[in-house]
Amino acid sequence: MALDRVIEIIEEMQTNGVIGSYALGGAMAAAIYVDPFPTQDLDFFVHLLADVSDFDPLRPIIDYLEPLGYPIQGVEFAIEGLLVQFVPFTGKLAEEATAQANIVEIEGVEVRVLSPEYLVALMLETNRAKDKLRARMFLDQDAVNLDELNILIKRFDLEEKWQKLNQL
Amino acid sequence: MAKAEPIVDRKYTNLSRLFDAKEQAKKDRAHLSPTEKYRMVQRLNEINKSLKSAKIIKRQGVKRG
Repeated sequence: MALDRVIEIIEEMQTNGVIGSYALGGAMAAAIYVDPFPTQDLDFFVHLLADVSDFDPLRPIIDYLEPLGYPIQGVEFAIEGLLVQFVPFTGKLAEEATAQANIVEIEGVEVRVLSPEYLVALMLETNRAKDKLRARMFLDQDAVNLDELNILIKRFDLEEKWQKLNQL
Repeated sequence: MAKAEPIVDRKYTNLSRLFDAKEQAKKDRAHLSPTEKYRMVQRLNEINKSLKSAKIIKRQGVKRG
């Protein structure tokens, strides 16, 4: 399975000091907890250990992966036929979500995956139309612990967006 | 004199450019040949199948404070 190789490469990046913590997020992570929705790539939240410019945030990863034969294509890397995107932390919520990630076994491979509560909180934070629809799916399919989600909603000031989601 | 940026904020990246580029990449992929699109969907379907049989082996819960 190509996912094995992707995880192996990410762990090598960690060992070599390119990234710190990491976790699978986005639609692929969501597919572990709710019915899958269309996506084209695997999104990994990563802690970049080097200072980066907002103009070229993926530079340390590009410099690491290019010599291995995985050049960037747009904003993604094609690794063993899979499109992989690395998303550096944009704020405290993404950082904490990555630190608190679940460990999930996928076909014998242990993968750090964002928990459903943090996924929904991140969807509330980004709040695009597709995020609202996805967050709604988690609620409709009873895929989140509401007590835990409420803690995040309060701590990260997401009450207003949460109320609007509940009106959908 | 410009106010110094707090050190704590320096580890966070403004990804608006990255996300714009991602949307553009999606638009570009709309022009892939049907065969290329089919292969991409096949690979993603394989992963989705694996994800359905995934097992959570360690759950950390949320940070409370």
